Amino acid sequence: MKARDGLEFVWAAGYVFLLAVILAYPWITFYVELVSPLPIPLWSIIVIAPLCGSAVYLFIRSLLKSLGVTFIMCVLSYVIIGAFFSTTSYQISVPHGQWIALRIMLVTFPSMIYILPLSLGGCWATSRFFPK
Amino acid sequence: MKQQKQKIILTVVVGFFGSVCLFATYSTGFNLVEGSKAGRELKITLVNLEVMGDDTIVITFQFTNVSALDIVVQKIGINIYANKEYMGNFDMQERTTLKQGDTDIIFKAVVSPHNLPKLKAVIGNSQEIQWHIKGGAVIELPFHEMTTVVSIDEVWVST
Repeated sequence: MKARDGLEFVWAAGYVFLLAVILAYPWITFYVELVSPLPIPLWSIIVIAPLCGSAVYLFIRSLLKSLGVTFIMCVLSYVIIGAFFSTTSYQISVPHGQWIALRIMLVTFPSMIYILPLSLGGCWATSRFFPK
Repeated sequence: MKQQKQKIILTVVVGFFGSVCLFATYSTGFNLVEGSKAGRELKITLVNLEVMGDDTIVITFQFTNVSALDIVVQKIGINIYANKEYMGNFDMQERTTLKQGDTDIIFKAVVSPHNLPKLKAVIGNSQEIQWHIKGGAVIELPFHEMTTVVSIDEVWVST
């Protein structure tokens, strides 16, 4: 039973990680659009964020839990953006590269704020359409 | 059982889009790092300089591409000075692809009749000629025809 629970946890964690990657990608491609093989316009986040919130609810099927997991997903996507720009600036070794990465993080933070209500809204709206 | 099936379908859908985004993120990072290396760490070295005939200076540049990307030299433009005497401005618009590693590019500069007496005087009067090559190369990166300029500032001594 414990092993099964552990497996379920790993499954859910992987699922949330992939959703966070999807949520982070429009921001990454927004800052470095010219070198991106698949540029996505930043406005698409307005659609992607509620869909990610919905996907969390549909997986968990409990509103309270899925709201918490959606919050974690948003924080994780922010961490992914930070990790991406920190590692690339470290590898490029441009002067003040870490400061550039930090600046991108600070600029991104206010924008990430409205992702949270959009994702939570998507999660909540799905719970109205597909109750437990 | 029904919920388990639904979870599997959701995982497949999210897995597909997530994998695409993960791959695109990796690819973007790779392009960013290698593109930066290609633009900033490209080395241009003068490896040979010869005067052929009366009016042609043949210069061999070695381009060292440290990035994993194939980049293109669009244009090379240089000023040549021999013992501080200006020999003219020359350019070459031939496109050359630079693979990872060293690539030699031969640049032929035909000195104009206006500057030819100066070249002849330098060759005739000096035992040692100090050549100074100053200019730049326009490099095209493989992203939406993005270009960058790498400067050339090399000295060669011929006897």
